[in-house]
Amino acid sequence: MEFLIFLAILAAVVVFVTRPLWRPLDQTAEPEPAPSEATEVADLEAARDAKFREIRDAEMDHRTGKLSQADFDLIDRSLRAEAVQILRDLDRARGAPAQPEDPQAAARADRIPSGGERLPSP
Amino acid sequence: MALVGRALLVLALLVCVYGIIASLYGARTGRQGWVDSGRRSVYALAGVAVIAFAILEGAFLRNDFSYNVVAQASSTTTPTAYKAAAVWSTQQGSLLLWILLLSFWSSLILFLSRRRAREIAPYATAILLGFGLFFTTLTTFFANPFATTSNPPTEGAGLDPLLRHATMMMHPPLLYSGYTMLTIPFAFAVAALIAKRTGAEWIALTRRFALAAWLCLGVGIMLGARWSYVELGWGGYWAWDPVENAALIPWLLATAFLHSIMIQEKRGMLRVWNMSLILATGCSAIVGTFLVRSGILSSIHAFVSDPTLNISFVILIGILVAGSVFLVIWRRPLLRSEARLDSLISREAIFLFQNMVLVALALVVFWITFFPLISEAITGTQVSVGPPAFEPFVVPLTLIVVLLAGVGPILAWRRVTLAGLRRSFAFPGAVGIAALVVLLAAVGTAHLFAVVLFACASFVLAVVVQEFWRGIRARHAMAGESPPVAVVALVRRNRRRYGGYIVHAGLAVLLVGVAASSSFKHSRYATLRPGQSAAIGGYRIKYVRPTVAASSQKISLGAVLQVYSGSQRVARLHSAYEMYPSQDPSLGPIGRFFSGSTESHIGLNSGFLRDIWTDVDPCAGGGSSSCLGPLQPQINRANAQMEKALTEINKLPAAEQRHLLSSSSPLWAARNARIVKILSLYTHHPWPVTFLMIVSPLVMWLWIGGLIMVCGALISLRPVPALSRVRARAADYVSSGRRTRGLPVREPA
Repeated sequence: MEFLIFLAILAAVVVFVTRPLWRPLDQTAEPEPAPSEATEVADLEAARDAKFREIRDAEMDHRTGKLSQADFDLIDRSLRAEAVQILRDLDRARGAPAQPEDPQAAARADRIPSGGERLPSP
Repeated sequence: MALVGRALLVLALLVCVYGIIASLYGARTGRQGWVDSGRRSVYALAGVAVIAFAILEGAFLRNDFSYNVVAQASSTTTPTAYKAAAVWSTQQGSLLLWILLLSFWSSLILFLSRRRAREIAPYATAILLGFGLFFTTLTTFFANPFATTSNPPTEGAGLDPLLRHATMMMHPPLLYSGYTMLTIPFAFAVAALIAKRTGAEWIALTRRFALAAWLCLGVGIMLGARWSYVELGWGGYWAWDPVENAALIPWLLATAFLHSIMIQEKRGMLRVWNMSLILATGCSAIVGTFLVRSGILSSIHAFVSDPTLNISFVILIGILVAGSVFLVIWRRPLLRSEARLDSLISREAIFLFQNMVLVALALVVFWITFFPLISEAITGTQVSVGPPAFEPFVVPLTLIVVLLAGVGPILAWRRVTLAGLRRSFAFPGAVGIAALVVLLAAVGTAHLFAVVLFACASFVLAVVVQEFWRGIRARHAMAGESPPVAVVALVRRNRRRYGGYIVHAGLAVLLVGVAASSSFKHSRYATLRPGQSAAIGGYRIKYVRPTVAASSQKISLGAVLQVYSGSQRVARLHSAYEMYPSQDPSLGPIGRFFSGSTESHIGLNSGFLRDIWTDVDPCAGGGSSSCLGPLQPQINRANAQMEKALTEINKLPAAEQRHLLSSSSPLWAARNARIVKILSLYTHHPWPVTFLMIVSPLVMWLWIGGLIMVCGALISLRPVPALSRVRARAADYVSSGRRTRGLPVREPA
């Protein structure tokens, strides 16, 4: 009985673990492309999330009186410019059509709209 | 089922070997099928570990003494809950628990990251399975929990009485969870170095595991401290025991890592430092496991020393440390900082300083903990070190940590103007200075460190209150929210920030409890007869009467005490000295009930302002050279009579012997009655007994502080608002005037 129990577990483990290798030969014979693009996107997404958090934190620091208006303007502008750069890199890594470098648009990126909108809800 | 258990361990070992090979092959060739197969090996390891653990638990619960570990650590009289927990009181069972937890947490992270970190994850899988392979090898070949005997005893030795406490049921699994969860950021950090992907992804994936590990270790340490306080009979909660320190070191390093990782996330700085820190934290988790397992340093918590296990652990630690150092040096060019410190008066500068202090604290604890081994290696004799060796270093460093826990939240990231600094420091600084002045006037400089710590803690609490108040005011100005709504919204939207502030407040409260209870504690021994009293810390404690109790598990000799403040009765306490039966037949059929393991049942009256703690030792005041001296003649006489009766029974035919020795035999009822009669001597002719009496102020705040820290950590653990759920694109952002999708937009001031 004990032997049968173990045999059943062994069979289940072997089937479960080797299941991804059962794909048709043509899918596994050739090496899949290296997933470096996916990793780059993930890295950039993590950097973007961190930058967004940093922008919110700076905003919070300003609102709670830790940052003067002048310091905040300086930091916020530079953070948002960094965020734009990350988003551009992300678009490029995702294969989105490249945005022509538009000096006017870049200048607008430094002038953040502040039209009564709230932070994105969680 | 022991055979199945043993076979499962071998299967787990093979799964680990296969998973490592499959993952590395998949990573090198880019074949996703092999990578997936390697990841599934971790899931399979978790499944196998669950079944193996369930088999072992089953053996404990049904008193199957054919398993060596069950006979060692359980008995028929052990309560069911403790039987379940007895599994991890043994070396073998605790190693199996390690595998179970490691495979569970590894499965969780690999499942969560199955579509992410495709270059890192296969290497991380191999490293996690490498840990699994190490521990399955130990359990399969050197500490097999499924080892059995062909001649099982009818009764087990029982669980160590000291471990029969609710906190001890949760303490080891929490510490092991902490240790095993720390291997996850370790594995991903190593994998990131190997795969040359040292970007932000591995941090984003594993940060919450590092925080969860920190939380589990912290709760485990707190439960251990509570157990020490109420169970060990010495009246303290922290003794700088090597095994306690083994959990504290990775906790300190993880604290440093959780702070410095924010600097890397935000500024791309301190990459070498963070990488080194998490590798050191992972190594220290294994060192902690080694300290508990090896028994190389004398500790109340450690298992018996096993040379094979020790050598295996030393080799593993050597590989981990050497490998970590090599990897960091090898990949140093990839770990360059993206930015520099803008100002020394900024949050990141304070975090960096705080990191250095925390690492120094961890190094001090590590050095002094291992000093006995170092001295033995050099001089040949093991020097014992105690709390006095730690305090001169730990106390000032702790003061700095507390102060920085207040300064950090006040400062903004990147830079702060002097005007802003003045504004931010005014209220908390005033509170801290006021506390310092008042306390110095009240207690003088006799306990200077405690006074300074109270002042620092007041400063931290004032900072946290100020931060909440400013946040509430900002939300009220912005959205017109009432204060309660604003608090909830504030915490919900900024969980990491405000969860962290709550943790800082908890730390301040906890350390107030520690400083007060250790600096202003009153403690004394008093040998009393019933009716006599002893004065301590403004109270008078009267020994009212002795008590006895007997059950199938234990017998106890106790004392009822009344505590008076002036003429007013403030508490009634009951302390007892509990004795568990020994399985050693040479102690005699009656004597073994008085000669087994012992534990203290302490009398405790807790309050927000002070604890009154008492422990009774009936052995110490009897005036006899042997413990329980006044009972010994009676015990010897009963032993002789009982042995004579048993000898007579052994001369009878086997069937009659079985009948007379069956569990329902009147012989055992007579034995039990005799034990009760012997015990009654303690109440009828009480002898003077010795009490340890302690009055400690503010101990309760230590536990409350710990709970506050747990609440803060749980808030921080919840996922941060997913700013990125809206797929943000640069094109949206730079388009004229309209709202930028996904990117935070300024709210109205």
